Amino acid sequence: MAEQITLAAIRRDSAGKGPNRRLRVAGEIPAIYYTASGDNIALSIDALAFEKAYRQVGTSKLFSLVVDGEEGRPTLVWKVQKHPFKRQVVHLDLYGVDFNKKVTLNVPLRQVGDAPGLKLGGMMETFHNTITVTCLPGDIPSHVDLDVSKMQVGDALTVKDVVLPESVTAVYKQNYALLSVVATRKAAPGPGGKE
Amino acid sequence: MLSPKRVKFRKMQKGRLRGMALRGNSVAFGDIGLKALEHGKLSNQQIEAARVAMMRHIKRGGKVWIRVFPDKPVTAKPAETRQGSGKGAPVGWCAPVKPGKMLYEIKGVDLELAKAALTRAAHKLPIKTTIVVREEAV
Repeated sequence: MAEQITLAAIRRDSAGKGPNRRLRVAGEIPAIYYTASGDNIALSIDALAFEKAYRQVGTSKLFSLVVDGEEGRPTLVWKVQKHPFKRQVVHLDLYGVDFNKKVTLNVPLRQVGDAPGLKLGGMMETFHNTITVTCLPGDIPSHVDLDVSKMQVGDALTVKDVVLPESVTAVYKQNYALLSVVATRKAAPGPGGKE
Repeated sequence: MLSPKRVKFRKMQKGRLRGMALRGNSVAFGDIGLKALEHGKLSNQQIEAARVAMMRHIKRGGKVWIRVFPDKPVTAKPAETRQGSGKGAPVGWCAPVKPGKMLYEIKGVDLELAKAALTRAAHKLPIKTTIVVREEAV
């Protein structure tokens, strides 16, 4: 949390389809802010300001939510509802964190290094772009690095192979695969499948 | 061409398409995809023609996902036939598509090449489409 991003919001009194549609037409996004202790505030957020902030914070970085000019609240973007085909955010869920209470959330995975298997003609197949972790809000990693520099054709990285900081634990029931270098027609000699 | 292996009923009513695709509307498997912007019915020939156009442009490498399946039978009556005498014979299959539905996805090729391939695929389809790129995880 070196530099904290701030997002301004205003309380909204109106609820329902009609008022929310009017908000969207006016370039605002209807949102809800809630905490684990049960507080919830209906908000309206400027769409452009949110998109700018969202590019930086994503769903795994804390930002400061300023409601009606009050003191900033440490918040996570919890859920973003998008229009099926317009490039428009329809609704937002914002989660107010408690620094003493653990949160479970998805953190993006980032590949580090060049896999030798790719040079031999393999293709990197990504099964998961994020990993579910649980940790205190202050310890949330902005991303998790996956070292792919030793991956040959046919190798896979599973959730057990992920190196996480001590305070962060991955949540999983089965040791699922995250990435795999699969053979392509170029890597596998002989006639391929379909055109 | 894509078609069901077996179906419970040979003929189906046309139905009407309403609303938007509330599921299957995001890039789930690949890096870039082709999204429908209109309602329409894609025939299995059109789906295949678009796939071939795309694959020929990509040439080698990469992986393509087809996110629609033509599981609805289409019937037609022979030419110069009087009306009545029941529903026509099955002539093909179609996939009903709503706005927002992701039709194709590509992974493992250069984004510019994938965009060009999807544009070629779009020309084979009877509906308006748009190219969408997976949002990079922050």
